Amino acid sequence: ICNLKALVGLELLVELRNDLSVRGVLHDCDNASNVIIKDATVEDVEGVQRQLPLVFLRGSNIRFVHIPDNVDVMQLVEDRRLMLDKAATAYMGGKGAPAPKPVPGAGTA
Amino acid sequence: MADPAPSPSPCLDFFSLDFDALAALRTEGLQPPNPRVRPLDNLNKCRRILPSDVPESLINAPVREPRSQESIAAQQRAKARTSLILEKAAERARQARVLDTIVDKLRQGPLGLLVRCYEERARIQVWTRHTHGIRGTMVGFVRAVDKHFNMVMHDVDEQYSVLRRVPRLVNKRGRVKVLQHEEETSENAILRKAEDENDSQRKEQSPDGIDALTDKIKELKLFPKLEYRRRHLKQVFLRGDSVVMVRKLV
Repeated sequence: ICNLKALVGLELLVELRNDLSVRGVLHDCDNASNVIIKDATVEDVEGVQRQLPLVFLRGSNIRFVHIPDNVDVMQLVEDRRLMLDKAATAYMGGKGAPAPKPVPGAGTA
Repeated sequence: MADPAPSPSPCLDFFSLDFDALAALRTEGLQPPNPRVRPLDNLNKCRRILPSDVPESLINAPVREPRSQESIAAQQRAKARTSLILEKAAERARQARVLDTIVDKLRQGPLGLLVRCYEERARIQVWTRHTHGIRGTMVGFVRAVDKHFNMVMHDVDEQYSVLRRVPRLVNKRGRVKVLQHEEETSENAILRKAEDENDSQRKEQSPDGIDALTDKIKELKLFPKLEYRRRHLKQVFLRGDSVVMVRKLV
């Protein structure tokens, strides 16, 4: 989902469906919303904490992704889209952006 | 073999009139007097060292005409055209908001209600689920939606239930012994305490009093307990497979 892609690099709290919460820096994500988190702190329901340097979370197991308050998600998504458009333009040799087609990546979120 | 003698043969002497370049190239190890001078690759480079009275020298080179006004104007127009195209593309990119594009496809079906809530910035109540059963509700505003029911919500009041396994000490007969400060005690502490009690009891009792012993041994069992919690979240991304129901609040 383009939302998660826009959040790469931010420190997030990911809550799983089994009520585990993982706090760390979002390193990577993909279309299935699988997620790689660096320098993670895993916290149990009871409050037991563990530190893990690198975590891969399967997307189907995620319930929430808590975004830090000061972040404007919409702006980030738009910025990312603009950047991709610019890259597409540059790739075409600076003669103009290709006609905006509905990109499958954007549709499937 | 290299010839380091100060007086090489005339055809290999760089300064003599009989200098044979081909022979010099074929001679192994022969170094020009200044080995670091840059070679002259084409005629234009040779022009610099020619004396001025030679017709091919630099002074007699044809002067390039300054560009005419027309060509300059033509170039400006071409630049303006390309910049206009680039601006239009940027404008299109800016206007086609990604989230609106995603949402447009959902308008027809049942998600149309959600799309209207997203556009009106209405308050929503979303029911979320555990693996078995309802987890709770989230009341907040929708910032983004997609076809999987993934949502970005902000200003969310969440009321939810969590299934916890609470350790309690149980007698063999099934009597639940409630510990003091049960909620704050961690599992490990309780385990240790139970083990200590069991050990001390085994040491005291004689092997004959087994029945009395088994009555007194307390087991640590985990009981499932449903805990209700409430919290406020400023921004969340909610994955669609946890959503049960969405209700629009007026």
